[in-house]
Amino acid sequence: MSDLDTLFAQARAQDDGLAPGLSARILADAAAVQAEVQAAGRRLAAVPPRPAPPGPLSRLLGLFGGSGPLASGVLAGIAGLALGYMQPEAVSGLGVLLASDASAAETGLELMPGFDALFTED
Amino acid sequence: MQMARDSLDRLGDEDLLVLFAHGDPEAAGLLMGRLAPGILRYAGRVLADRSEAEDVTQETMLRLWRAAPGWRRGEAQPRTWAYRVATNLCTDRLRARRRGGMLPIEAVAEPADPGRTALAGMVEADRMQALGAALEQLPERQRQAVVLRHIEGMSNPEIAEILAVGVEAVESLTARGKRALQAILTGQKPGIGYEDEGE
Repeated sequence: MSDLDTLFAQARAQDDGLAPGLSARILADAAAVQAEVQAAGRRLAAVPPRPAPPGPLSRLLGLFGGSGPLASGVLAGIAGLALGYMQPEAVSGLGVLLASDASAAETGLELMPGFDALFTED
Repeated sequence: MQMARDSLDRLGDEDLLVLFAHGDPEAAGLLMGRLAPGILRYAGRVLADRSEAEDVTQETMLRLWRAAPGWRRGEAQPRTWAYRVATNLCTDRLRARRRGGMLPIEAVAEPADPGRTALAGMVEADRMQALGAALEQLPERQRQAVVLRHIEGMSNPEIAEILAVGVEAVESLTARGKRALQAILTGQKPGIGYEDEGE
């Protein structure tokens, strides 16, 4: 063993240990951190559980903004289809009525038409 | 959660850290006893200032306590991790010293063993002081590598992890550091009884 290695061995063997003040500071830090961790754990345990994630139907409804907006959209679509079918027959006499002094009864305009015209074949 | 002291003594550092995170009050004392003296010795050798070394030791342990709740097993050993933190803290302090032009106020205390004769104690204290002074003359990385390898007794792979360099770089740092120490101490041999001309 060289003299330098002997020096290293002597340095290695030296153990001043921790000064009592340093040990106390380190342990005080440890206790403070432990208290923080435990307090955080208690806060986490006190939080109510989160609701279950939405199912596939809820997610699909969510794409349309929920059940209310989806129902409104469907209703508007049905109304549009109905008006599209009814419009030519139902208001065919409207121009005549507006352009003349004749009454609705005289021009034959039906202001409350039935659905018969939808089922007649051309 | 609290276990008997004997059972805790047999646990590894990682297990103790997990117990600490779960609130075991004994785990902190045991981990401190295992890690802090070495870190203090290492920081003392690197910084050549006992007071700063104590600050580094306390800060390193504080960071370990804070890391405990999120500690991921198997990624790093607490001992290696702590030495890496201490190395970075020492580097920061040495840089601050260089920027501020400060010199270490207080050399590392080297108390003599009261069981020996006063003369033997003085000779050993002189030798330790000479070693400390020689270490101070080494470049920072060489000093860290030499202290970790030859005084803390760590393996080269461990040192590589601590210094964040390759194993070859550690071998080079320790070899160059040891040669430089040899040269510095050879010039002081009459005063401290250093006899080697070489390895």
